[in-house]
Amino acid sequence: MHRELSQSGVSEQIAGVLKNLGDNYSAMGQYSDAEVYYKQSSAMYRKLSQNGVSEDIACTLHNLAYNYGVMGQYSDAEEYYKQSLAMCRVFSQSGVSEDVAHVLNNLGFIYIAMFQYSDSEVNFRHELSMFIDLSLFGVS
Amino acid sequence: MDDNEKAKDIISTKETQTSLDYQTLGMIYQNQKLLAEALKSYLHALQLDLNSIDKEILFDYYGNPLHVSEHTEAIVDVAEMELLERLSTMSNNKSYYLFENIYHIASVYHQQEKYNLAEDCYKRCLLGYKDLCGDDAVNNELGYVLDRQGANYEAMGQYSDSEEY
Repeated sequence: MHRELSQSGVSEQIAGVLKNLGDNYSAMGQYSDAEVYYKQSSAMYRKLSQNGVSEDIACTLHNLAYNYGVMGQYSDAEEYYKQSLAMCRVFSQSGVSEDVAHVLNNLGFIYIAMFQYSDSEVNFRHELSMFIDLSLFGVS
Repeated sequence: MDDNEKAKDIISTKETQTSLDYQTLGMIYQNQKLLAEALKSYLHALQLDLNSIDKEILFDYYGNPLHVSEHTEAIVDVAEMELLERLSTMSNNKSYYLFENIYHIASVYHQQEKYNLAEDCYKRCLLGYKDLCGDDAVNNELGYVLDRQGANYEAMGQYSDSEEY
């Protein structure tokens, strides 16, 4: 039940606590604080992972993206959702999973928000076509 | 009877319950969204851990106390704040399991939307893990993270934030 008490085990625990602190601050509406903890957590998870890819990193990046979305930083949100999506696809069966659908759903909301605040419909249409490619074919 | 119920049954019929048993019960309750029960179990586990540290009881590899008789005294319901207060007065303890329990308690507080309590517990936990790892090892890990953080801010053009790192 308990993890083995090793350096990497404790470091993984620290990364988990940092992520949860991010979640906690995000839930309290302290989005800037949440951002700091999410970034520390994802950096630590990356260091602990073999190749910079893991489900924990994907989850933290997803939460960071959501956090940027509620802060109105849509470009940042888009960037981190895309990173999370790429990782979720690595861990899914043939590129399809609940996590992939979840990230795509949230990314879709970001594009809608970008459209509402965008002064360029042309740019939005370009982004939208990329999103459709990303959704259907996994490329952008 | 599902696996959770089987596990609860096994734990509750044991002659003596350890901190690990109560932590496991807490996890089962938490999975079942029975948050009040989960919190009670985790606090119970935490109290056993704290008592063990007070009495310098040693744990085996699996987290079970080596001196069970010392560990099974009746536990009265202690107000959670009193227990958390007791945590703050302790220094330099090195129990990994203690911090694991605090981590679980924080996660329940978060689910209960008691965010300030969750924050407090997560931060205690973070400090505990850092202390547990030893200064050099953790500073290396966190130093790397903070370097990355500084680099991130620098890349974002937020030089004033970057200087802090």
